[in-house]
Amino acid sequence: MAASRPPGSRLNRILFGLIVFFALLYLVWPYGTLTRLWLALKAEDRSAVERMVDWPSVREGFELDVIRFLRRQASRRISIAGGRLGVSLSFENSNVGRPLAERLATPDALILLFHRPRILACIGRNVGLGDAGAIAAKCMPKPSPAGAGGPAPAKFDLPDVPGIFEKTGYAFFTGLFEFRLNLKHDGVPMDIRLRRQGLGWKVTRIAASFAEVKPDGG
Amino acid sequence: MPGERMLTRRIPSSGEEIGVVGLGTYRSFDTRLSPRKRTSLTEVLDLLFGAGGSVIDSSPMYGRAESVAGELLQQMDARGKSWIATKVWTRGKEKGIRKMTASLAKLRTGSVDLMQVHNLVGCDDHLDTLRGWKAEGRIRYIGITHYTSSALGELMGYLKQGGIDFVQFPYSIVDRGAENGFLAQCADLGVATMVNRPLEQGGLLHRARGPLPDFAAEIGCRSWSEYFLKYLLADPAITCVIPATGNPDHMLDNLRAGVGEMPDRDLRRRMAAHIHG
Ligand SMILES: NC(=O)c1ccc[n+]([C@@H]2O[C@H](COP(=O)([O-])OP(=O)(O)OC[C@H]3O[C@@H](n4cnc5c(N)ncnc54)[C@H](OP(=O)(O)O)[C@@H]3O)[C@@H](O)[C@H]2O)c1
Repeated sequence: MAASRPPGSRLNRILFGLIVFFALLYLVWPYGTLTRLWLALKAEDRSAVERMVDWPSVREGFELDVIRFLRRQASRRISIAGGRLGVSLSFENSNVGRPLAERLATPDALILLFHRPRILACIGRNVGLGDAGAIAAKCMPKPSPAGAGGPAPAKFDLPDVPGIFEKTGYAFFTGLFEFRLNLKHDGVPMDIRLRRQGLGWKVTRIAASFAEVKPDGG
Repeated sequence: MPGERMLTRRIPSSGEEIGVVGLGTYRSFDTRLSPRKRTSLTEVLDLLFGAGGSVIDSSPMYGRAESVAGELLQQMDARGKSWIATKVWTRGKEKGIRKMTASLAKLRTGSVDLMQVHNLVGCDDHLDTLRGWKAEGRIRYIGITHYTSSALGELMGYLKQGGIDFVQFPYSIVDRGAENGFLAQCADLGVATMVNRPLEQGGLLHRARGPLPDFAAEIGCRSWSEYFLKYLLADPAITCVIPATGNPDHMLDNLRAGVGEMPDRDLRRRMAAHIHG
């Protein structure tokens, strides 16, 4: 005959089970946010996208990326020209960082980026124009009037999980309140960071490359 | 600070007086309203109104912030006590109108006190609409904003064209670009000024963890946030500062900056030197 367990140990097991359950829930939480973001981008649901992103943070990140890209271009030019040419042009162009970041950190631009990530390479190619308006006119077509009214009719589409898995480089917590996802979207490398804010997660950084995308092997 | 009323400043274009310490909503109000959040944010607003403050600044850029502020103000029946500023953040005239109408709905009000063009995005598209809305009474003041001191020149370009009541820009004890003529020009033009990022998004308070310098007692400062905000408010060209917080204790600290003595020119210099030194 088995001895009955003391009630304390049963309580401990329930508590332990609950802790494990909530820990697991916490671990999958950002994936849930990313899935919702994916669905919102796909359905072109601007107001949902608007809610899921910390725009001032993302804008600052884009600004940093544009400036870094310009700096890399400048130093490449300096090395090609033996340190004699090209410097002033690139420095002038750094004025483009802020206005370009403001154009990229909007729900419309993010939706566009999701559907056509290679616009980043177009921006990279045209950054020399030095005027954010002209670059946007060349690389970022205006949203179609059909899409401007609101989300596309909700045709519920589950995310293509195997496809997403294939695109993903890594995804992990970088802190208790921070999560990072690295992926290649249509061949364009992107690094997305989320931060927990209140009772949800928000995208705080989309680090993107403005370099030319090489065709995937094969 | 019970019993002490907050200092007020005049809006040059109307003569209306508003409390010098307001409330920003970026991040702090961009949240789902759990019972705990509801309690703390309600307390934050209660403290603001109780101290004689009223200014609440939001934007469609801050996720749920407009909706949360609107819901809480309605629940507290406090629209009358509040002075609401929000923004239009999009390009294109028609889109701007749609977005501003949505903002009013989220804030649960038929009119707001101040509508600002966020970061000058599509400014030329919106100014006409804003003038029209002001004439119709849907907004009381027109404003423009930016998040970086490097845009102060651009802001001034618009202010010089006239017809703008408010300008919002970043200014803090470590980001003092506005002191190089911008504030004086605003005063000359009769434009009210609203300071964003007065605490460097909280960064100043993480840096300044040690005890306050002795001279802070001369103006009754008991916390670093008071120190940083009083430094800004000492300039009469500042109409109000809008630090964001969702924490009632922090709100109380911030509100204390709006009462009592302000530092004079010499003390301000020492305050800045202490931080930079
Ligand atoms: N372009 C624009 O129009 C623009 C740009 C930037 C900002 N803004 C407006 O200006 C407002 C203020 O700027 P901001 O929110 O970026 O930065 P901020 O007000 O300088 O700093 C807010 C941060 O400081 C913390 N904080 C506030 N009071 C505190 C205290 N007494 N002690 C310790 N920590 C304190 C808050 O955290 P807790 O919640 O924990 O207190 C929050 O993290 C915004 O909310 C927004 O309304 C407008």
